[in-house]
Amino acid sequence: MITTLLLVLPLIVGISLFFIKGNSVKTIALGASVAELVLGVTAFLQFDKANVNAQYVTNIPWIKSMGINFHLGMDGISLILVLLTTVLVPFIILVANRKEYANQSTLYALILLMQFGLVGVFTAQDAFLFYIFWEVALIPIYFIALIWGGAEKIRITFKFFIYTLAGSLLMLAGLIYLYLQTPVPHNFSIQALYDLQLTKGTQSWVFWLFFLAFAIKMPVFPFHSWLADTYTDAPTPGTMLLSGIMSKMGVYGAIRILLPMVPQGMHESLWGPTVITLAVIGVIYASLMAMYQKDYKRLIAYSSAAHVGLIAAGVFSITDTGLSGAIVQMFAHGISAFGLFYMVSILEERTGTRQLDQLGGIRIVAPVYATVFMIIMMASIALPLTSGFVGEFLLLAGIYEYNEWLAGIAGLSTILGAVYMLRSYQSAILGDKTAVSDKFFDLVWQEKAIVFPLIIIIFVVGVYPKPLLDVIEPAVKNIFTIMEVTKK
Amino acid sequence: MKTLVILSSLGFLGILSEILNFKKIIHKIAIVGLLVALGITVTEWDNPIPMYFYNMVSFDNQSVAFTAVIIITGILWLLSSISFFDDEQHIADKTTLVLFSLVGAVCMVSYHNLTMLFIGIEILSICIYVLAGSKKSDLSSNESAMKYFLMGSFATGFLLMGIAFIYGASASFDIEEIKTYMENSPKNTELVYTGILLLTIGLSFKISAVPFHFWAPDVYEGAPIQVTSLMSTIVKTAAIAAFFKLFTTSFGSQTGTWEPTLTWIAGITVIAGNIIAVFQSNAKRMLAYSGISHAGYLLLAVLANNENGGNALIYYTLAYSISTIVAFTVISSVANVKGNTDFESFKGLGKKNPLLVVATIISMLSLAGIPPFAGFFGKYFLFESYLEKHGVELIIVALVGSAISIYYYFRLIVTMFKGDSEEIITLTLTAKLVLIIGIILTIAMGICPDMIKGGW
Repeated sequence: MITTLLLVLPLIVGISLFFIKGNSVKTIALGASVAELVLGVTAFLQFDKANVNAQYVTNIPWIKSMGINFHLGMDGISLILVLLTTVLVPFIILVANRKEYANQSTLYALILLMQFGLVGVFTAQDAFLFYIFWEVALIPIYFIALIWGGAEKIRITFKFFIYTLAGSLLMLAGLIYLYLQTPVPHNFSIQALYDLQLTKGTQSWVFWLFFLAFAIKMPVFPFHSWLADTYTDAPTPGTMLLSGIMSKMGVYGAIRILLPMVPQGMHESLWGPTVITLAVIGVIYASLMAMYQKDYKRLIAYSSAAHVGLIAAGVFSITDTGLSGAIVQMFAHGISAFGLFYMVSILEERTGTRQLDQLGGIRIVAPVYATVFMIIMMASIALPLTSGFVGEFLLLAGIYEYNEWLAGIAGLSTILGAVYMLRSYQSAILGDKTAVSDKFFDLVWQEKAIVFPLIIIIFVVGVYPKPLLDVIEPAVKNIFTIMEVTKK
Repeated sequence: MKTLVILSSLGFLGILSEILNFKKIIHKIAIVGLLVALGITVTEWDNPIPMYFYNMVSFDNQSVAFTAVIIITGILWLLSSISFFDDEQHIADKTTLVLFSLVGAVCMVSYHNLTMLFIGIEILSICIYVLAGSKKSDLSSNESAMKYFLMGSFATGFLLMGIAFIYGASASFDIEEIKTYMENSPKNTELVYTGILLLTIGLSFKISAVPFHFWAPDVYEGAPIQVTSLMSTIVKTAAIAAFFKLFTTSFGSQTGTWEPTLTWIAGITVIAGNIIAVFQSNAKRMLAYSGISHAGYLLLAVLANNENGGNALIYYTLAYSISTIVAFTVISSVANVKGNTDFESFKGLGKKNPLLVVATIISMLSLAGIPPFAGFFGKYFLFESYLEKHGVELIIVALVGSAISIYYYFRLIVTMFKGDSEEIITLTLTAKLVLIIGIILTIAMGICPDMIKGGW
């Protein structure tokens, strides 16, 4: 029931917003997203940790002739991502509220429709439904980036759309193939696809169909080329949705679809080492790219790619630790990516520039801002006691279990991360004043109302991650149990 | 059967309206008449004895469903193309021609005898030849009509020859009797081979499948925009329904004869249609090529050669027709203001025309086959029915085609968000109505696909 509410609320409000004009849309959108947050937190609090199966299940037939059901539910993994979505969207709407956008009712409508798609992806228990929501989530973000994007929006959004859509078509082909292997009458439920006894040969080619779809979405090297442009060019709320939540869709797909359905593809062949190496290359590549960026937003875009690359590597290590770490880190990265992009957008709004060499001396005029930025940055580079640490530690431990050398190389990313983050902070926030620094003023109360809760979340998750891990671990164990079965 | 009678009477009423001088309201009468016809069609569902006129036509559930698709499309088309009936002088002629083309289309989806198929095709085609040339003073309209007529009669020649060969072999025009003959004849004779080949060519002309598509872009571009819309919806629906019925009923047991050829035709049509559409700079011509590529997808149903294929075809033709009518309504509204249909004319319309933009986005997304809109399920059902008996090769080709098609469908959307024009395109009341109905149907068919497809 609660899952259905989580899904229906943003859909209905989102659609109605298209028809409402004026400033009330801001309040309505915010109200809806807060209600959604309440639902998300309730789901989290009432979650039965002992039960490894999907909870809050809704299952009604949708397309009977094809064995497709409107089947929703949440296990621990879904729950964490739904929680992340419901936490971030109100913040994103608050951020959007601070600025005037042309056609604002459309913007808020699209943000809520995006939330609808994301919650759908994270809760779908039917593979066809999963695919539908996967595409539904793509359409609003495409239009957000297309309508409110920067100068190069047309070319960039086009590339982004074609890229991700090509990937998801491959996934669709893979899902239909698996669907036709189910016993007659065919059935699209994810559980039915888990139960298939596929041969090793089949698993190893279906693996690539799924992998490409998810790799493009995450993105994993060498499918990352859409990322930096899209993140940089999209309007701030769009960037936050993309890097905060949408990049998790790919990882989630890998955990929910790729690993349990075709684990043989990973296990006894070259594919496993190949994909984990690609992920690690991506981590290092993105970190190095971040070091050489002059544009602050672009730098954070690459840092986001590096973090998601590490999450991917953790997932592909197929260890308990790696997978748990990946899920914690998805949550933590969502929070810190949102924070970082917000900090940069404030910087750009007031000074009119994001170029590192034009900025400087911000700390002198805005100490609170500088401190908040510092804390969020620490969370991003995984300082102990911040949210970033738990996940990153588990991820590296997981990769270490898989292979020491890869872990060593991936571990470099934390050092590189500290280098590019601190260096850019030093040049933009610290140092001497420049021509633009006097335009800057410290955070006003509305902005503080956004960042302070964020900081609280960062520390709470960093100091006491147990509630999250308690939910995650049984679900991860369950994924491994399923893999044991499907491997045979 | 009653539908056929009503439609023909409406046609004659159209002629009478000229004489009895009520031609000013004939357009409205036609719309009301079609609504009545739609209601009557629905009552013919699950008809216990579907055969009429000495087995010339059969209104089984499949025919009824296709008839309904054609009439729904016809109603939307009449609503969307009021401007086509603007000139006082020819309003009755044009309405009559449109109504008779619907009669032809209904014959084509309900025939049970090859002569009836031929008559249907001719009734439909002759009306459309005239309609294509209905802008008498416009050279390109004349060219379009002439080209369509020459190519069409050529195709009819093939078709008739094919029918003659099949008759030569089986000694019957009745599709069930041909089926019995085909199932029992131990060996294919040359007559059957040649007949099936000629019929394939003739019908491929009609649905504009590659390599028999050369007439389509020029004809579509030259004809008045509303006639183009009629050609790419109703004509295509009727032709593919006829194609499907003939090949899966009569030649269903002879798959070895036609399947390889048709597989190639379908694959090439999807790829060529989509690739050429990418290079078009005119929205009307782009839709013409996209229509060609859709003919390729439709052929998948014929190749599927099963009941699910028929169901998928009904769903697909409805989804495709609605989206196409919406797209053409948008294009003709823009053309009314800007005078042409180049992509350039769409620049900057995204800012101030919410309904126009939403309609364009949804129809393009649906045509490109992106969920959750109707077009996606249409493609999905077609693919699924095809995969019941066949391998994935052609499906992969079709998926690649879909990926290419996203490029040009999105180009139209993207163009609307380029530039800073603040221009407002005024829509007529009926155009608005068509757009809204189209949007609602496209979404509703996507949300509850079972509504259309699960019924039988």
